[in-house]
Amino acid sequence: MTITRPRCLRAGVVAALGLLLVGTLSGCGLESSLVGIQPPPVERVDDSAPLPGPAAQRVAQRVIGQAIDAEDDEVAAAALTGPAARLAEQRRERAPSRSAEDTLAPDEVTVLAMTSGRDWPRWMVATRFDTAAGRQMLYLLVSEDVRLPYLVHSVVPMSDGASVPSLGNLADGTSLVSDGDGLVAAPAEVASAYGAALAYPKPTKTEVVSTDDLMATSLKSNAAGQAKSLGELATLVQKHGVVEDSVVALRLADGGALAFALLKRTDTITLNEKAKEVTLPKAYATVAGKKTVTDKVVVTSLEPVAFVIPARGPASVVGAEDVLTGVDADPS
Amino acid sequence: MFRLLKTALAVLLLLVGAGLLWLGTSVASDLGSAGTRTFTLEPTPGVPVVLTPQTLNRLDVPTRVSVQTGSADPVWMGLTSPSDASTLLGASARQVVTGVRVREGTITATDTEGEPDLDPGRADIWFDAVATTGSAELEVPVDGVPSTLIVDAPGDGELDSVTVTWQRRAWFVEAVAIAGFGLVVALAGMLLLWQLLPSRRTATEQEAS
Repeated sequence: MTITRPRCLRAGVVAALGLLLVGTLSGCGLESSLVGIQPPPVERVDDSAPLPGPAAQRVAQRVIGQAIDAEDDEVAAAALTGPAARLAEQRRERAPSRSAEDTLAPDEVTVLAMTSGRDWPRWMVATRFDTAAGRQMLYLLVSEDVRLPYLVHSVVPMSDGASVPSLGNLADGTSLVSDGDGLVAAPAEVASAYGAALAYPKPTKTEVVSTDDLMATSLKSNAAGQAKSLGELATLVQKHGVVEDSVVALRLADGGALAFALLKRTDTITLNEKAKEVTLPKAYATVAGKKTVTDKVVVTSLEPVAFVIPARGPASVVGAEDVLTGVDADPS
Repeated sequence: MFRLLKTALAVLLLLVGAGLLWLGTSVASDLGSAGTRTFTLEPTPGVPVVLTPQTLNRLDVPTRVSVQTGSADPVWMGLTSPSDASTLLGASARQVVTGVRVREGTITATDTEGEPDLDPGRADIWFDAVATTGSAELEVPVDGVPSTLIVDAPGDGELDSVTVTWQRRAWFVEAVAIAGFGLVVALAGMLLLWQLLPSRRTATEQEAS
């Protein structure tokens, strides 16, 4: 006597047992495969930028927008610090108001780099094309504390045709450069050497930075021309000193550095005994509040400069400007 | 002996299958076809609520956090890195979310005593932030970046509820699949049991002879 069972029943039982077994064994990976649970990502505290790209973009857009307004509005000047604040103050006093067309367009700002890590101060480099001025601008922003916003520290208009090498992956961040390891010289030394090389009448030759940029060549030719026009009536002495604590440099992807510095230019024109008085140029007379001088005149300017210090070879200027800040006629 | 084992197996398949069928159908009906699961926290009055990566970055889908305040109280939400959140919070009192209770649909949290008021100042540490009144919502993306969310009702405002929502359609599909699998197992158990019934067995044997 044989007992026969439907084949489908046997197959069904085997299949059910098989599925049950598979379901039980897959329990080891159940969380990730079925539920979608994953271990929380670990924060890269030391080697990542503190903000994701879009958030950094929003911050830079807001702060630089405020900085542009700051040239008109003293309240908005709270968006500025350091060299940028000093320059904006001068511009507010002298430059005409900006037009409504100067308002920052959305996504006009591009963030190039942030310092990595979670310490303060935190630095950010951004750029935008200033349509009104027709120039590419470089911005250095800083946040001093967890509760303080980023402020514009330096603004430098880039020279025509100049470019800034890559500062690396935005998400990875970059580092501050304070010494000259791997560079032709420390950033502060480069700025100092550049200033000394522009001095008149006794420039100091330098091997660490090139002085064939537009600002340097125009400063040198202007100083020579001015001295020539003064002739024997007066003597011109021009100095360019680095403003204390103004030099900030960030590491480029190739090992070089992008350095921001603020120089203070001082032109001292001293009348010789033969000269009774010298008539000031109109621009100086307006600032000084008088048309002639009888003894000497001291003209001061601020010069924000951006240098690219390559891993090999001398540094070069990628952006600079000269902003007249004061004329002291016949100082006591 | 063999027959007893088969009977036990049939009963086991029936019970397991029925259990999976119940589990799958109840989870599927709870999630809905979109696969949405919501968990709610009743915040401790007067302190900010903090959600860490242990809650926000644990699933492979975005985390949506919604906040309700009393009437039109101001509400503020800021998403930042865990380290910056820790620095900003300092010694502030807070309620830190520690997990969720799946069955109850609630959020578990612990209270940390400290300074009464959180001062976010004008910090620029936020990946994303919302400042409004009444209610607010913020979605934490899945981008591999660990993040901490701080929820606060500035001034005298109070948070009524904080809700965390995940939507994962695969959950619904999986629940339906579990229910289907349970049904197959239960049917297999029933069939086996039916085959082993004494009346059925006798009839089968007579047919065979």
